[in-house]
Amino acid sequence: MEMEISAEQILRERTSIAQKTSLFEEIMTCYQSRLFHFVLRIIHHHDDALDVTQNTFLLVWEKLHQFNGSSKFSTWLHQIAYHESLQWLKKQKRNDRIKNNPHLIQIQSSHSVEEQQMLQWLYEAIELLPAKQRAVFALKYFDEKKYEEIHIITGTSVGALKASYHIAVQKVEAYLLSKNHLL
Amino acid sequence: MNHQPMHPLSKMEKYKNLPLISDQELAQQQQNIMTIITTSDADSRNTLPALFNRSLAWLMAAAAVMALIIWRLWQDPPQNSLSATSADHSAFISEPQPVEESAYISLKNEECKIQSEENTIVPVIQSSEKIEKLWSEITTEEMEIYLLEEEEF
Repeated sequence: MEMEISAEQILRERTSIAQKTSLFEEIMTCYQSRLFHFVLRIIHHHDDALDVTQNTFLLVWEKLHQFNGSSKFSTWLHQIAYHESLQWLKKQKRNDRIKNNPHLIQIQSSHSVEEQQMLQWLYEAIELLPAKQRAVFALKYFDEKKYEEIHIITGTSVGALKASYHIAVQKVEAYLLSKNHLL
Repeated sequence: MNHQPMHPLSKMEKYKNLPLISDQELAQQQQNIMTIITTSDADSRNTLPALFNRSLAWLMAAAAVMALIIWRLWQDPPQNSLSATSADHSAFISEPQPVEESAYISLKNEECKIQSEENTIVPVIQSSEKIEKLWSEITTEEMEIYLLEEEEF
């Protein structure tokens, strides 16, 4: 079970600058890796995912007083990261950088050869999906979030999310099945 | 026994959450973010006193200028300044001093000399350089005469 910071803790500890700084460090320790991977699964570029994650945390620092506790804190964080990622993709599309720069996922060399290969295929399969579908797939398959929570993050209706995820799974599995003899 | 094939995504379960970033990179990023927020926070805290100091400096400078103007007015009452102005005007409309025309004539001669010596049209650049040199040497009075003659006044 992954560690979570409660909404109550955020509302209680964001009052003074000293408390806010210490709380923010705790937030980063708790969510940095999760947010980075979420962003990476949407934008598929290691260095840019680092930048987007950094921007997300800077926004969180700036807007922390606006968090009203109506949702889980992690949901609020993912909402910001989701919108930052889509903004980044829009900007990249405008700059036409996507066509010129291949997307880079850096698989850690510390993993075994088998693990590296599996991750490679999995991320290749995800790259076939459109950006919003990638986000839905990442939130459902990797983060195992409920549709109601994904609805808050993305603003898409639960029905549309279910359909989108179903289609995403079909596409990813079809790609992985094409590698069937190796699975 | 019928063996149901496993879905590819189910096979991926054990791999899906393997990290794609090192702890060092995460630590470095955390450090960067903390540096940015602490620096920007310190900046925002320093902004107000700096603004106040700057405004105070402007106010003091404005007050000093005002004091200087008041002091000058007190030292130089309006009636005195009026008489001074009249004196200036009378100087301006008084008879002009006799002007020596020798310099202007020599300038004219110089120009004619250049043209007659070469017996050709003087190149524009050379001529303008020469004239510029002469203009720099000419006095205000000489220039006034020149302008009068050229009807540019």
